Amino acid sequence: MTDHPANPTEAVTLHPSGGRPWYVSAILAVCAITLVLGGAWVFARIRSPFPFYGTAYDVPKQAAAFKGTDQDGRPFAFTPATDKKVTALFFGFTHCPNICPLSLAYLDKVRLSLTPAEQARFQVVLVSVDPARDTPERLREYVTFFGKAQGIWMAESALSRVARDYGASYQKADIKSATEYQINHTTATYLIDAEGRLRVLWDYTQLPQVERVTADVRYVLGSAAQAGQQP
Amino acid sequence: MSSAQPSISSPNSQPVRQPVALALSLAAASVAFVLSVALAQNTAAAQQGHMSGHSIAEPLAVPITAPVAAPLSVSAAALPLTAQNATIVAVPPSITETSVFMTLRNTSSKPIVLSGVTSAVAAQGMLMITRRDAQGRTGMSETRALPVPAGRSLTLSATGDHLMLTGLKRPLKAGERLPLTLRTSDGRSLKVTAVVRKP
Repeated sequence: MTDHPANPTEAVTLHPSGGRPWYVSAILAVCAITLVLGGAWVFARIRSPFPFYGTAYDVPKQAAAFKGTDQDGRPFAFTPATDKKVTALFFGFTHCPNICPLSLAYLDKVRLSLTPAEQARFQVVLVSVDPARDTPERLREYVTFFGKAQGIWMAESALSRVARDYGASYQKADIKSATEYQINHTTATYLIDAEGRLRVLWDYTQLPQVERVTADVRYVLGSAAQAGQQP
Repeated sequence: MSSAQPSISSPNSQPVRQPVALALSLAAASVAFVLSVALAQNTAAAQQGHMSGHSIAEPLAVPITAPVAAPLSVSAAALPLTAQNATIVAVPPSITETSVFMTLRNTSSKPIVLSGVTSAVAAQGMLMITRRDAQGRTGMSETRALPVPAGRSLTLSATGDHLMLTGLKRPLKAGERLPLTLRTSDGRSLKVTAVVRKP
């Protein structure tokens, strides 16, 4: 009973004299938010020191090696880390009217925005997911038309293993006949550093942002060079 | 995250007497927490391979709803539809299929439903939608109708809905200007001049 009248008076007296004005609370709240966001940013930068545009691999994973036939009909062996090149790898097919030309064209714009020295250490590789209809000749026409890339053909058995290694997937769709069909496929481009590690991937819808993709490639080219100098 | 709390009350030794301000601060801090989690996610692992790329791309895909019923009256008036930046993707000479992109704007108060596309240089024209399945595989499939909502635009692009020409009768040269005819479900049509461009 005695507490009851005391409380309102206390509130009334405290407020004007020592109470915290609302804007001070607001400023403190803003400070707190800044601290939290800043902390999160620092945390994110520690985990991944470069703000990749693509999706970065937290723990770089060793990329799988594979063999096939290149666009000139010669044997092609992708042996990550041995050729000291940074590789942008994706899966596609030449009857693809949309995603694959876009991926090739934009990856070539990325390649061309690198310096000649960087270009010499960067390659684009398209692995065909349509061994039945694609041929090295057809792949050559395709990869040279949209820029400069390696077009790799391999038999279905080898292809399914490589796709699984990279977490890629493909499936025939809209089958009208043995030679008329579409292939639904995953649309990631994988960036593999000079040490043969998967570092970042972009979806094809990200590739038109050429400058940001180039920045990712440059970072991986640079960090790979430093890693190469250490030993 | 809990370190944020002391910074609110510590500069002032007085107990916080403003429950509203405290509640607001707490709410703001939780929003900040959610944001920071979202930020951290941005650089998170790509362990699931393509699946992570999937989520990035999702908002870009234009969802297509069921075809809108076509108006019964066939009007002789010109279609209140405009096409901008019509582009045919240049492809190598031996490739006989290609895609067509443009932005269509419906200036009327009724939806306009595309039902087909024809071109003198192609045996067939198709309306296409881009779909991604549960495994993250992207594919194109033919659709019978592409609605352009009333007073709105429909963007036909490489990442969503688009048109496809198959059975090209000759190689198309970059820079060439080619006429296309878009047909609508009410029997009208729109002539569009598209430019062949390398992507």
